[in-house]
Amino acid sequence: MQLVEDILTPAELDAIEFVSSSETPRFDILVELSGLDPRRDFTYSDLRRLNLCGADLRGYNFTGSDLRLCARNDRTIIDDSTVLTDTQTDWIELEALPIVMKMQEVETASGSDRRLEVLNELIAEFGKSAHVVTYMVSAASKADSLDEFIDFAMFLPQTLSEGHARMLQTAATKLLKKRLSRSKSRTRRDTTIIFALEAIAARLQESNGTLAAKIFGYLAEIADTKNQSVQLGGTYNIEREDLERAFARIGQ
Amino acid sequence: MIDEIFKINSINSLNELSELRFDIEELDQDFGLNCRLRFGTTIYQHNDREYEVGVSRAFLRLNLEGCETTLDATFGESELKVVEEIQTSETETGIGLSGCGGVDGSGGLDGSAAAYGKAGAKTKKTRAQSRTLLPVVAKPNDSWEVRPHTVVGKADNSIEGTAIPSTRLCVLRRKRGGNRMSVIAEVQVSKRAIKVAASHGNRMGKTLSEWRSKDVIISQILKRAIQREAATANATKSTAVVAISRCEIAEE
Repeated sequence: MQLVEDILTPAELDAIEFVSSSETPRFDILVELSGLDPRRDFTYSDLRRLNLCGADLRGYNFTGSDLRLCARNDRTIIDDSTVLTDTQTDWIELEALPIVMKMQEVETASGSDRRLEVLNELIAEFGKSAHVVTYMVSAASKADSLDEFIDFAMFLPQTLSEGHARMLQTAATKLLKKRLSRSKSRTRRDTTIIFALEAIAARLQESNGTLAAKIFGYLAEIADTKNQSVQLGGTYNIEREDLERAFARIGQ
Repeated sequence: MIDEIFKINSINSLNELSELRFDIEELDQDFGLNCRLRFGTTIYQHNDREYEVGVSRAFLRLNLEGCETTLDATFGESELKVVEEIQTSETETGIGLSGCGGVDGSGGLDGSAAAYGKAGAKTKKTRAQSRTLLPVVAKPNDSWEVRPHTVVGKADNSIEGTAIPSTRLCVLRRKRGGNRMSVIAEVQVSKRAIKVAASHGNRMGKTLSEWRSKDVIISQILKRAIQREAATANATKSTAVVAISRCEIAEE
């Protein structure tokens, strides 16, 4: 029996690791890390919904590929050397804003969906640079609600400096307390808190490879140690202390 | 014994994706070629991310030497259907009368009257046809296309299931003057038909999501590995088409 794993060369396995652990979502940089050949490996492919903002696509051959709903902006470089023969395109044109304006857009986002969208754009264009991470830590620490904090946690890297981790721990604990007291005040019943806790855990689980996922991992470990049936969101009920402990482990 | 006359060798290098097997039986002076063709999907897992690998469309092609297919029933015949045209005729008749009269300044009387008649016929044509959409369709020159349909059209997702269920594919007859029969059957897929998709992405929205670029690049690495493996195992020279399974039947 031959599995897909068996046909991958050591170089390809390394490339997958480089790509998945990379902090940059910039398409061209990821392609460079992957060792794929832009002149050959992107023909006749489903490449829909890619964020190509800021990507240098000179020399790419997209013959026969589907590039519909891909986003590009003024910084995306496409020239005569980019082959678009029989390529389906329906670009989403995004405005290339300076980083400060993008951050302002995050601050003024009307809700969680819009915030996630702008954070996506910010990171797609500028990557998770030290500057961007510092900004996100600061914004998460000043968040008004736990949901807003989790929005940032869904983009923050898993590895953080001690100072950043401390700031986030404090903010998360405070916001959790606020969220749970608000939930209880609605019905004056403790059971309402269970639903709130489950909703928080479900959101933390949403985004792989980020701080949010790491916190969810802590939560799973805490549940494990309780020797219970550890199907989070299943039969096991998450308790307030579990989340507090998980938040306290940020940065560990 | 027929088993001693023919040597059958199946090469299913990507054994989780497809399995092609043949059997040959003697029918008076001809040979029945029985086939079983199955498709499946496989999962490649990296850290906490899963990719489903499969094919969405495939062709089974026979390369015959020293023999040819007869005009007997072939698997997957999609006969052109009779279209029924129904003609109905409606006739319409009508009689009208018009007239006008007046006195002019000269004292004369002026009058006119006319009768008209109208008769017309309307013809309506309606056509009715029902079509059976087969998942495997016999194509010209000893080939078959495997492409399941769904109620909403042609399926673009991976084929999973038995396409040809151990049944007679066609009947072969030795060519006049031919002294050695050989059949090479290949399951060929185009590069575009190899499907690699992240099983569960970020739930925050697929469009422009942070992981979309990474998923696409990892998918391309897996596709490239599959193409290489198939080309090596089946000695395929074409870069656009990959043979994922092959079976050789040769007279000893």
